[in-house]
Amino acid sequence: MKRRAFIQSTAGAGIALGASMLPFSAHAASYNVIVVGGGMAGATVAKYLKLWSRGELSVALIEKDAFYISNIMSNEVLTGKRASLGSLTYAYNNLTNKYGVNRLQGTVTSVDATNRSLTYATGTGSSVLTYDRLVLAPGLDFDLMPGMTSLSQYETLVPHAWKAGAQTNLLRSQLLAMPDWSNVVITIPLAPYRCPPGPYERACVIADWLKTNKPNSKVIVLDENAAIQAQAANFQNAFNGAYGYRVDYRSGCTISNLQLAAGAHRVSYIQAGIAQSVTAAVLNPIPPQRAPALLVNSGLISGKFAPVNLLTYESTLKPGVHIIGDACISGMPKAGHIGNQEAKTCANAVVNLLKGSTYALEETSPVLNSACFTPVTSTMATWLSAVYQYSNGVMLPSAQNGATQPRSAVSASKSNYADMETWFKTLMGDTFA
Amino acid sequence: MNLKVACAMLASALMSGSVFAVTVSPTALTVASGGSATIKVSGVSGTLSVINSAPTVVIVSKSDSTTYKVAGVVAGKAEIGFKDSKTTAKVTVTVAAPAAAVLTGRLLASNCFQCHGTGGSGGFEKLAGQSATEIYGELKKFASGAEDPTGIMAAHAMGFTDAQLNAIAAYFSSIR
Repeated sequence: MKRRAFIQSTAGAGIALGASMLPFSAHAASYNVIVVGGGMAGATVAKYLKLWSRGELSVALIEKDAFYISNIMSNEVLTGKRASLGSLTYAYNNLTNKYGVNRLQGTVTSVDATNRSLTYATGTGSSVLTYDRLVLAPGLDFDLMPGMTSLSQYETLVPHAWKAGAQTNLLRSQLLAMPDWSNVVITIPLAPYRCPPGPYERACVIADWLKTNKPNSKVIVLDENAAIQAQAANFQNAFNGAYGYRVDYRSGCTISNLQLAAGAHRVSYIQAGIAQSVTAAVLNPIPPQRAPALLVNSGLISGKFAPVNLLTYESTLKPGVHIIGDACISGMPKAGHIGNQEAKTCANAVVNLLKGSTYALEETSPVLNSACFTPVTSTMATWLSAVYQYSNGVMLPSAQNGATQPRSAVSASKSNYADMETWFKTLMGDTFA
Repeated sequence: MNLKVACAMLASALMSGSVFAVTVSPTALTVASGGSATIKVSGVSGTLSVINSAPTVVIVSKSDSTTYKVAGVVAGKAEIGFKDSKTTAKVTVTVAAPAAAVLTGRLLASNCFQCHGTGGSGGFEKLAGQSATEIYGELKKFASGAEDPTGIMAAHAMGFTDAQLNAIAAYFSSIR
């Protein structure tokens, strides 16, 4: 492929970014690989498809938003530990300038797997794009909770803030405005949901913030699961007061109704067969999640998520379409770090399929290694790590060296917090830079 | 023309000449496909632009105000121009074809990139270009619980087979 030389200005990415944002032409364009979704999995797969094909595959990345805002660390925006979402915002200019990814800002309205094409829409119209391989990294859709009438209620009244952005800021402002002597209620859906430790982390950092800022208020967690879903010992210790705050944690609670009224919500639930309710000045319902409608409409779903071959992440329902990240069924936690590594496994497979084994070796027994750090106060963190080995079509927690997986920190510490910052910065660099 | 003006003109001439020209080091280098190298830039006046004649062959990124990283993408040649308001300095980069060994263990080793940087450079300890014996030895100490058994590196290393740890070590030692 011949390409004109381009100028990288040290003052910014303006010049090269401009080239990638030329007005979209109406006639069909074709790419070796089209990636849909610019989150952790989508950005990583676009980067590694270019890197491992030595720049020879043409790769388009379709994402409707101008920037990605990291969910990881966004709980720190709720407490003001991070001043704003600015430090969690990532642009796509490195993918375009450094790696040669074609960035398309718009949405995909339909996929035709038989003809290896999709319909791409922008504000000014739509057109058909064709591909050799399609990689979908679309993230998740959020369900309505019982008693809710519209998804817009998450945007105006009871933010889930489970996709960082305006809802994160709304939840922050509600916490600031809340009078003392109030309840903050967080509900957790049945697994699988995005980021297993995330809701418990959120309960901890909010409780830690309340301790100083609204000392007579408390966090109540209504968990639909029978037990804490990750790092149970560390979170239970935190909830019991190990770090100077307490969290009222209630497990096995099926949410039956949310009665919404600004500043005075009522949450009804059933625990051990008994109907109960709590009031909430601030209500943070984390909704049940599912693969987005595009995947449902494209015949890629079994149940709520997309089944895939875990050697390649190719759909088991439609050939030529790969699904990575939170929308696929991998048997592993739905989380950003894992989405990044699923993307590399997928990129390796797609480069092998399209360019052959002199570019990427076929992988017959992939390993997926995950790490995640969790703040439990404004200065201390824990971590969770898991290694998964491929075995007969599934990814199983490794049993090597007689060690059970996953594994976690023995307790929270300041040195873990420092390591967390290095991990987060490097993870985001591996994904977007 | 008075003396003061003449002096100013002389100073200006000197500034646009050798004393204040952009200089780069080295002016030619070879990098493996998948590997990277560093270019030092000095004597910059005003804004510096980087002109990459072959962006599909090499990727240039800024590390800090005087250091640029050149990553080899595909075998070939590229000329990198560093242009300020007065002069341009050029670096000729040759990207060598990758050794087959670089592919072996790459996907496995990419599990380390999230914390140790893409290609094993960045974040925690640098792994790229380290001795395979040393990396393997360290990983085995973690896997056996001989070193920091409750730390996160032990948690990682314990999940891999001996052959996998060997492949990871061999990969990082084979790249730069």
